[in-house]
Amino acid sequence: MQRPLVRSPLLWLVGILVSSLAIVFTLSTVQGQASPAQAAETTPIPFSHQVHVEEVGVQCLFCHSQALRAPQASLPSLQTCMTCHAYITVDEKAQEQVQQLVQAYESQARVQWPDVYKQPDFVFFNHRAHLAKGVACQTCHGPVEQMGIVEKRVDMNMGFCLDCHRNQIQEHPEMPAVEKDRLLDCTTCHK
Amino acid sequence: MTKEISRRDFIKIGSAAALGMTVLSGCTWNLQQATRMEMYAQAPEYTLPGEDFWFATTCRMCPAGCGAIVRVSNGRARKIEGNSDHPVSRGGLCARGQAGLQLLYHPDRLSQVLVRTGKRGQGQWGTTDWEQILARLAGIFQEVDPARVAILAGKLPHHHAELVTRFAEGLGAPAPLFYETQTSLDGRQVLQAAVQALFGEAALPVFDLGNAEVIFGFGADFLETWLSPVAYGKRYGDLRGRTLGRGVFVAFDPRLSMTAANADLWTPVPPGAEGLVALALGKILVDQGLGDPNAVADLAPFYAGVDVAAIAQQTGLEVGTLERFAHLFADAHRAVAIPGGELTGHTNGLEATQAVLALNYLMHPDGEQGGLFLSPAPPSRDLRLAPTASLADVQQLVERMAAGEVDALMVLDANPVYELPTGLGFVDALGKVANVITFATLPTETTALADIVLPTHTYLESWGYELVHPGAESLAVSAQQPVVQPLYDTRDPGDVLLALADRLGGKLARRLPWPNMVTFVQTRLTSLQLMEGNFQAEDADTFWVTWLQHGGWWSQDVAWKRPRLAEASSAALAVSPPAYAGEPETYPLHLLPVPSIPFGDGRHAGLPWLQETPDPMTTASWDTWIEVNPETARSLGIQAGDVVTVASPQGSIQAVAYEYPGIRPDVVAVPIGQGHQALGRWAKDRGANVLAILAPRVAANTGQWAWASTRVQLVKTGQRRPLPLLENNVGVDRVRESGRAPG
Repeated sequence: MQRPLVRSPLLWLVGILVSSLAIVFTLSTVQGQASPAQAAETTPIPFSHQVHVEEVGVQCLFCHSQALRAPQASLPSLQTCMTCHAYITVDEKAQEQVQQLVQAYESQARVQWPDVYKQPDFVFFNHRAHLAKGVACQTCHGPVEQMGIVEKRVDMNMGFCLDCHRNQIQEHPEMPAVEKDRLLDCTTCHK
Repeated sequence: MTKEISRRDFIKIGSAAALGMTVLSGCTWNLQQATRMEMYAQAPEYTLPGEDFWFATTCRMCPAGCGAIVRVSNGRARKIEGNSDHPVSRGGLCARGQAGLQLLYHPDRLSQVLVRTGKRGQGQWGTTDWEQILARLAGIFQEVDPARVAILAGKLPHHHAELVTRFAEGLGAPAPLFYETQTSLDGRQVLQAAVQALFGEAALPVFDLGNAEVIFGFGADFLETWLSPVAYGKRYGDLRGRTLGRGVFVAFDPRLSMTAANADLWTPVPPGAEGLVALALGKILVDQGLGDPNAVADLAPFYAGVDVAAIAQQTGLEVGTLERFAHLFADAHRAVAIPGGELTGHTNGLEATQAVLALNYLMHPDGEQGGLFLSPAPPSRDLRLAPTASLADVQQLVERMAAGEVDALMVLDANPVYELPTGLGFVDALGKVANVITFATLPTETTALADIVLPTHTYLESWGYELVHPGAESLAVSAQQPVVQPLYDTRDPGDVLLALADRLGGKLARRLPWPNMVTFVQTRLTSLQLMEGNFQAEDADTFWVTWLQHGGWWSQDVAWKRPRLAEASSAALAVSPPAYAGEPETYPLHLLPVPSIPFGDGRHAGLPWLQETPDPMTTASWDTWIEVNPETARSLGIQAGDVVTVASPQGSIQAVAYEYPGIRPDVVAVPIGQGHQALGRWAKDRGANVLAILAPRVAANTGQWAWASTRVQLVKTGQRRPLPLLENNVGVDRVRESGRAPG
C-alpha cells in the first residue's frame, strides 16, 4: 500500500490555507484598489472629473499644472480649487460638497486623497518626458474625463509601459538610435 | 510512477512556496491601500514636485556671517550647506549652521504674539494679533519719555542693527546696547581697542593663516567658536595642505582645546599669563635684533621694563624655552600670532592682546601675506558697523534699571536673564522696569519675565544683509533671503520697527522711512553698484536679483588693510598679572568656561542635533561636565562620573566630573550652554549654566567681562551620573577596578 502523501488532514488544511492566503495577498496587492465603491469610501471630497472636465471644460493641466515641468504631475492646491469656487454658484446637490471644500481651505486642512496610480518606489516615472512627447493623459490614466471618482482602469505594470515604448520604436523607425536605446534601457525608469 | 513526497517534504515545499510568494509579493506590495496623497491648502512659491530649489542666504547661527545655500523642495527647507562662492565660508559650514533647520522647524517656536496676563514670571499669557500689539507698542513709546527707553540687543546682523540704531535715534532714546555673551567670549571689543591703541583705528584684526608658516595661538580657539571659525578653519586647511611645508602651530593655552589639539605643540600656560609670554617673546626678539629692523626700532620702547626672567617664573616656562620659541617665530618666513578670546577674558586682556598683536608687527610691519591685517572699513555710510557693547555698559544699564530710570526695555535677539552673570542683578533690576518688550523665536528665560513677547521670523524666513566683519581678503556684503514662506504668524523685527515708525510719525518716521524690509535692504546696496565686485549689473533691479542669486557682493580686489603703527603706541606696555575673583585658599582652582562648539554662548541648546553633537575633546553630549586634571581629581578623591558642586563666590552649580589630562592641574573647565529653563523641550532642565556663577568682574580699561577670572572649589556630592560619551570607558573602568591603574 502506498503511503498517503500527507496522512493528517490537518496538515493539508494548513498547507492549503497558507498557500491560498499567499496567493490572495499577492493578487490583492498587485491589483490595488479595484472597485469604485472602495474608491468612493476613501475619497475625502467627492470631486467629479466628469463634471469639471466634460461639463465645465477645465483642462488637465489647469489643476495638474506641474505635469509639463516636473516628474510628478502634482495635485492642485485647495487654493486652485478656490480660484473658482470662491465665486461661482453650483447646483443644489453639489453645494454640500463645495462647502466641504471651502471649510477645508479656511481651516488650512490637510486633505488626503487615495493614491490611485501609485507605482512602487523603484519606478521613477517622469511626466515631463511623456507630455513633452505628446502623450495624452488618457493614454495611461484611462478616460478620466468620464469618471466621477477616479478609478483605476489601467493596470500600469511594466508590460503596459514597455508595450507602448516598443510601439513607438516600431511606428517611428526614423527615431535616432540613442532614443530607441533609451526607451528600452532599464535605467531610464529604474535609475 | 511519481516519486513519493514525504510529509516533511510537502510541508517544506508548501511553506517555502507560501513564504516565497509572500516575500516576493512584499517586493511589489506598495501600500496602495495605505498611501495617501496630500494636497497643499496653499501651494508654496517656487515649488516643483520632485525638484529641488537652492537659495543662497547668510547663516545667522553665530555672528560670523558665513554664506550658506539651502535646498528647498516642496516648500520645505531640507538641507543647509556652505556657499562655495562666498569668500568667507568658501563652501564650508559648521555644525551650528547645519542645524539652522531645527531652529526653523522647532516644535516649540513662538507662533503668536503673547501678552502677560498674570504676574511676571507666572507663565500666564494671552494672545493677540499684530494690529493690536502694534497699537499698544505705539502707545507705550508715545507715553514713555524717550530718555527712559532702553534697548538691549545681541550682536545683531547688520540690517537689524542699522534699523534698531535708527529707531533709537528717531525716538530720541539712548543708543542701543549690542551685547551678547559671545561678543565677550570673542573679545571683540578688546580686539578693537587693542588695534585702536596700536594702529590708531578701531578695526578687527584678521590673520592670514593660509599663507603663514608659523602660527602662535595665545588662548585662541580659532577653529571652534572664535569670531569666524569656518573661515579660519578653511585657511588653516590651506596652511596644512600645502605641498611644501605644512607649517608649525604652537598653542599657548591653559587647556587642550580642540584648536590646541591641532597644534604641533601645546604649551599649558597659566590662565591670564598668555599675554606675558607674548611680551617676553617680543622682548627677546627686540633684544636679540630679530625681526624687521624698522619695526624693532619703532617698538623698542614698547618692551622697556620687561623682565624675561620674571615672566619665565610667572608662567612656568624656562628662559631657554622662551628663547627657542622666539627663534622659531623669527626664523619663519611668515609668522602670525593670534590673540584669542580666552586672552580677553582676563583683567589684563587689553595689554595681553596688544602684546600679541605687537609680535605680528615686529616681524612684518608692512602687512605682507601671511601676517596680520585689519578688517576693511565699510564701503559707505549706508553700511555702517554697529559698536559692540561691553559688560560694563550692560552693568550701567542694569544700574539704571535698578534705580528706576528705565520705563521701557526692548530686548532683541538676546537672553540676558540666562547669559548675564547672576551677580550683575539683572533679574531684580528688571522688576523695576514698567514695560518689558521682547522679540524672540523660541521662548527664552527672558521672555518668561516679559510683558510682551513678539514672535520673530528665523533668518531662513526673512530678508537682510551682513557686512561680514571680520571679513576675509575681500570686502563682503552677504545676502540674506527667505527660503521658505514664514511658518507662523511671526514677523521680522525690522518690519515691526518700520511699522511702529509709520504709526508714530515725526522724527522716527523720517529715520525709518521704508515701507518694508525689502525696500530697506535694497537702499543699502546702492553704493555697491558702482564698485568692482563679483558681478556687474546695469540697473538696481538686476543688481538686486543677482545679489540674491550669488549670496552676496564681494570686492574683486583685496580689501583688508595693512596695519600702520600709531604715533602714541610705542609707550611701554605693562602686562599686569591677571586678577581673579575668589581667595585661593577657599577657591583653589581656576574656572575656565568653554564656549562649546554646538551651543556657543548657549543660545542653541534647544536644537537636538546640536545637543547630540559630541564635544570634540571629551565626546560628551546632552549634559554639563567639568574637566578635571586626573592628578587634581585624585587629590580631591573625585572619579569620573561623580557629580560635583562647583562653587564660586557668586554661587554654585553641579556638573559631572570628567578626568581630562589636557588641562593644567590648577584649572578646571566647564562647557557653556546648558542649564536652561526655556528654549524648548530639549534644552529645558538639562545640565547647568556656568555663566551664572561667574564673577561680574570687568577689566577697568575696556569694560570687557573678565569671564575667565573666576576661581572655584569642587565638592563631591556623593551622587554619580553617567555622562553620555561616545568614547568607551569600559576598558578604563575595568583596569581601574582591578587596581592595576597607575597612580
